[in-house]
Amino acid sequence: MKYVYLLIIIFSHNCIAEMISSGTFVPYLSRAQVNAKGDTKVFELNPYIGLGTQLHMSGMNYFMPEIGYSYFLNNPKNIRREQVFINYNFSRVLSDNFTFRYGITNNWYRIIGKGGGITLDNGDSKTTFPSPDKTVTSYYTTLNIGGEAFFASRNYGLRFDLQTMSFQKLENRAFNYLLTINFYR
Amino acid sequence: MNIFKIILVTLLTSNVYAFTLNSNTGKGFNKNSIDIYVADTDCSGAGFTTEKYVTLIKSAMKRFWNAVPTSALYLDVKGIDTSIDIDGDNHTAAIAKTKSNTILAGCNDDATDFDQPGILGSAKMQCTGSTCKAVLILNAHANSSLKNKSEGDVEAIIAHEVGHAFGLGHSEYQYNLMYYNISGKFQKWLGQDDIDGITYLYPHDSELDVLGISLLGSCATINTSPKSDTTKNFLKTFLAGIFSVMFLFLTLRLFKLRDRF
Repeated sequence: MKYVYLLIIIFSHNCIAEMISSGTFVPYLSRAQVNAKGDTKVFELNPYIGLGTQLHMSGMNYFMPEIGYSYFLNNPKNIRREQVFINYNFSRVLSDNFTFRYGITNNWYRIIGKGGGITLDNGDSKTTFPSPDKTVTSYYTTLNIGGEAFFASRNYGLRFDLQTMSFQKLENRAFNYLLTINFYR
Repeated sequence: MNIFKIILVTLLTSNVYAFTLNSNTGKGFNKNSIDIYVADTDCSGAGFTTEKYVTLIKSAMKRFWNAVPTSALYLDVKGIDTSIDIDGDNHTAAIAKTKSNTILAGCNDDATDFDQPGILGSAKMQCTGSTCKAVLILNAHANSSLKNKSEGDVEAIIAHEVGHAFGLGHSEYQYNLMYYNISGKFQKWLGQDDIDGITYLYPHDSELDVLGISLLGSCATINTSPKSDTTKNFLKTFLAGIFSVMFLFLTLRLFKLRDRF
């Protein structure tokens, strides 16, 4: 617990603003196939909500830690999917209306199985396949790059973060993105 | 307003199922790196040589299953094992010749399993305790329609059978690789069901999986941590990340690089 107090003391010193963000999270951009023609995913509505803070580092540089949660809307009947994010993003103010963002994110991707059996086609007959029945979490880290545009007020920003999964391996690199409206207080 | 309601109802309700599993008894290999060997069998009825079969499997793994960053599974195609011949064997006989914790791929031109041209291939997985092994066999019978398929389709068929071999069942969506029929679609990549299926069976199961590299090596197949452990891991990782960033920041400050940062 003492570490939490220490963090609060450190952060309160440089804290500029608290942030709430809301938007959508799109995993596997241009990689997950969505129809029989071979088209891949471009957009998906998976509500995202995040809480964070903005800490001044130096000059035009800020550190913006954030905890986020996304619930996948298009869940099938036999599983539920959700994701928790811890974003360690930095931002650099490039102009009055735009900041460049970069950093890393720790992701917890959870698949919650509901169990049961499902009868599906199998060759010329039908077979009952077991459905997932456990909760599984996959931990992975992404490298982020993006930007935030501010509108009439500096209190509201439209953020786009492109997350690179498996960035150390060229052959299976894939991308997610976050598109949110940020509110600063 | 009505349109909004229709969209909302469509998004919030689903009448289809996601991925399924291959069997109740074995829900995947107990390791995240699985070797694939090709038996020394005649695949000419399927339209290619055994050497070409190896190339096709390698290409299929690179294009499909080894390209899922949320999963820790890596399928390593080792090549032809000349000591194994499954010619004439059915699945049960072939799996008996398969080494533990590996997948054996082969062709068959005279087994009764493949007397129908429409059946392009099949796979069987067998687990005993913590040890699993699996076999996938393509239809190389004289009347097999496999030889009429494009190379891309053959790769997708191989990847589909490998999906069964490591523990997946079928999917209800046509555009997923694990749909039961390859006809009438172009399988460019995996669908979301396939991605979720391999992630469910072989997740990155360490909270220390920083930068996508597992610091603990191959771990258990399925993470069923109690909620309290997940919360603890979450807090640990969060604090580790915060302290890493603060350490970096203080180091930069110490070396007076802060203003140049």
